[in-house]
Amino acid sequence: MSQIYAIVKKEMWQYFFSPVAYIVLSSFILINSFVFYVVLAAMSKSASPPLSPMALLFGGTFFFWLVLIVMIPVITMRLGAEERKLGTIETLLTSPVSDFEIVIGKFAAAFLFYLFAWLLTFVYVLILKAYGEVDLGSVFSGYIGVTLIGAFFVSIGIFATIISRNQIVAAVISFSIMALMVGMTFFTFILGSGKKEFFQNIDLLAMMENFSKGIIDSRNVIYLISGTILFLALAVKSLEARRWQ
Amino acid sequence: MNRKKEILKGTNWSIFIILCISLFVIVNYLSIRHFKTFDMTFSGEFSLSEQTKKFLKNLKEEIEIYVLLPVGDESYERVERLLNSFKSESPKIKVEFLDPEKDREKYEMVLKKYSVTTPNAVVFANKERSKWVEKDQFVEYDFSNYQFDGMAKVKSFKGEGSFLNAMYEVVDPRKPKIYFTIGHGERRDFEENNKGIYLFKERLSKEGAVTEELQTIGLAEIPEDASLVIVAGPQMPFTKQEEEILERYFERGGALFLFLDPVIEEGKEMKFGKTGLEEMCERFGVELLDGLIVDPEASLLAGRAQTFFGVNYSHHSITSDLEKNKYPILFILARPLKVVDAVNKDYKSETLISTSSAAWGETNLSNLKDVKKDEKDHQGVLTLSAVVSSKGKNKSRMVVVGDSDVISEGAFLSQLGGNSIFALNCVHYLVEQEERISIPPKEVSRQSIVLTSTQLITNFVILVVLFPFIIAVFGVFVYFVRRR
Repeated sequence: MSQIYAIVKKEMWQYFFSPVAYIVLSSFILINSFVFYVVLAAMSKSASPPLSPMALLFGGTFFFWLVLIVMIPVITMRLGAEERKLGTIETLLTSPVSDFEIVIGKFAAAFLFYLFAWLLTFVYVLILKAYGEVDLGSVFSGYIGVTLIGAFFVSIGIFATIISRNQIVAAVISFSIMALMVGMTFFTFILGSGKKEFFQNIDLLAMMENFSKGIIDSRNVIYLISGTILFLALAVKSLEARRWQ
Repeated sequence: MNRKKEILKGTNWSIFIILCISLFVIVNYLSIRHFKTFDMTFSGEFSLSEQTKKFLKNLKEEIEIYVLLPVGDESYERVERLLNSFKSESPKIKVEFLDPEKDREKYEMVLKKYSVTTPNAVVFANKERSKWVEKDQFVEYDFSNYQFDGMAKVKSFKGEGSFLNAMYEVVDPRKPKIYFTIGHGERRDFEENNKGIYLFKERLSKEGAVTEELQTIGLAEIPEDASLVIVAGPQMPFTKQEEEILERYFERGGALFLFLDPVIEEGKEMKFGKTGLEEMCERFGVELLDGLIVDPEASLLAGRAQTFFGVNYSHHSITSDLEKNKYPILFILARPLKVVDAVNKDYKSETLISTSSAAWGETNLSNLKDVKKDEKDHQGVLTLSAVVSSKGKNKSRMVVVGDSDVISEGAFLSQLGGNSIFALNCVHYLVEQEERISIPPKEVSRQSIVLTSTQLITNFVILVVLFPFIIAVFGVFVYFVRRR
């Protein structure tokens, strides 16, 4: 446990001492603030349709997914690939730290950074509360959704960075996997009732829609947690293979 | 040797990947088969009512549900979410969504098989029995902005109640026979000023009841197949013989739903008349008082306190949902009732709805334009509706309401919703289908925040300009610290 903590601490320092982290954070806030502002402006018009700003922020727009599938590869790409490029991975692998601890430590660091970015968006909830009533139950559920989807995507990023030698390649691999996962929704639109059932169960957009509206579905929670574990297990195994190379 | 090692490594990897993926698939397969949904909203917007949960939990037969709606339909998402909640409560619920375009063949097959005559509906089938619910029965629209933007907004979603009733019907096909007495000036289906009761009858038919008119004059007994007899606002008195057959029917386990308005005899001088059912009601614990209720504290229009809302509900299965959701019931020129001890101790009467303490029962009919409370009037709190039930083995049940406007077309069409829920709840209670007690529609939540242009500009500056800028400044600061 102390090894995991040490890795998390080291990675977190690296994040917050790197200008890239601030570029990611400010871009993340700029896009989300802009979306939030547009929703507020639309709501203030007399003939506006029913809108829920937080529900739109949690997966209700294209920007949410764009931010996620660009931001997470940027956060995770250097975690493994850079260590290999700099040669520090050998030091890490020969130290008394297990592969599991390395993967979990790096995963936890990236995940905490991701959560920190989302924590900043709580300002929007406070603004909404100042102007009207907010159903905090659905806001809470939305944050649970963001947390679970984030964990899933960060695990994909960790797997990609561990199997790649180059940061850009790692980012492209994780971006592609995430884009594919999000793109599965397309099949639920084009297929008929019998065939689309499979895709409905892995439809991330529909999952996020549920969370944002205040519904927690055990199927969604289990899919996202098991998906996270699957990619982390594959990452541990990849690191183990690297050790024997 | 190296080749052997490579093969071993490859096999090891393959086995590991297959194992991981298999485990992932199994866990998710099981979770899809046995799932639960949790409503986190504070308003309980997506929660099922206790009676729906109870029905689904005790469901023994499989119910097939076909949703005949296009994917883009405004109610599609709500229907999908509701049926998902049904599925999470019972594995006996099987749902299939059929798009008229993408699943054309099956869609048309279902239309034909279940004789569905409308394109947008939800079909419920259990063995040979089926029932379809058309869209108008589960979605209520708001046309207030229609003339401006040509769009009707979804006002409320009534899916849970209408789907539950459809499921009851395919599981329990009993059709209660409801008789409406005629021959005493009772309300008819269509009357002027929205006073008809066709909407009430239509709702009863949609919920599976068979309604028929019954001429009681000269009748020896109420028909054996009667599940309920409704007396809807008689203006002329029932004869002694008619009162007796109603009483005998009630005593042998029958159900009566009596809407007894104050009867006003117009002549040289206006005075209160009789309904002919006064003695029977009193014997079972409900006294019909002569008077017109005036309730200034609950009135709808200032200066017209004879039109008012009943919102004081007693604790009873008929009124529990109304009380919970604060649905008011509209009364117009109602008669005061009084709950008294029943002559026959086998019966128990109790108040269902009452007025505010400011109300009174006006007894002076000479100056109705300017009514004033005086000592001769009945003093509030007054009973507006009472229920009588048998303590013994027979299942006699009676609900008395001092106003038949409660079931008028106008009241059913009003946006308040309480009247129809109350009337249907009473019918379900009386025909012993309490499990079908109406579930109030759920309003579609609309968060409304209207900001002034100054507030919008302030928020733009804070959120879109300052917030990311501060973070970027931190980044620049860190960059320079690192360089040093």
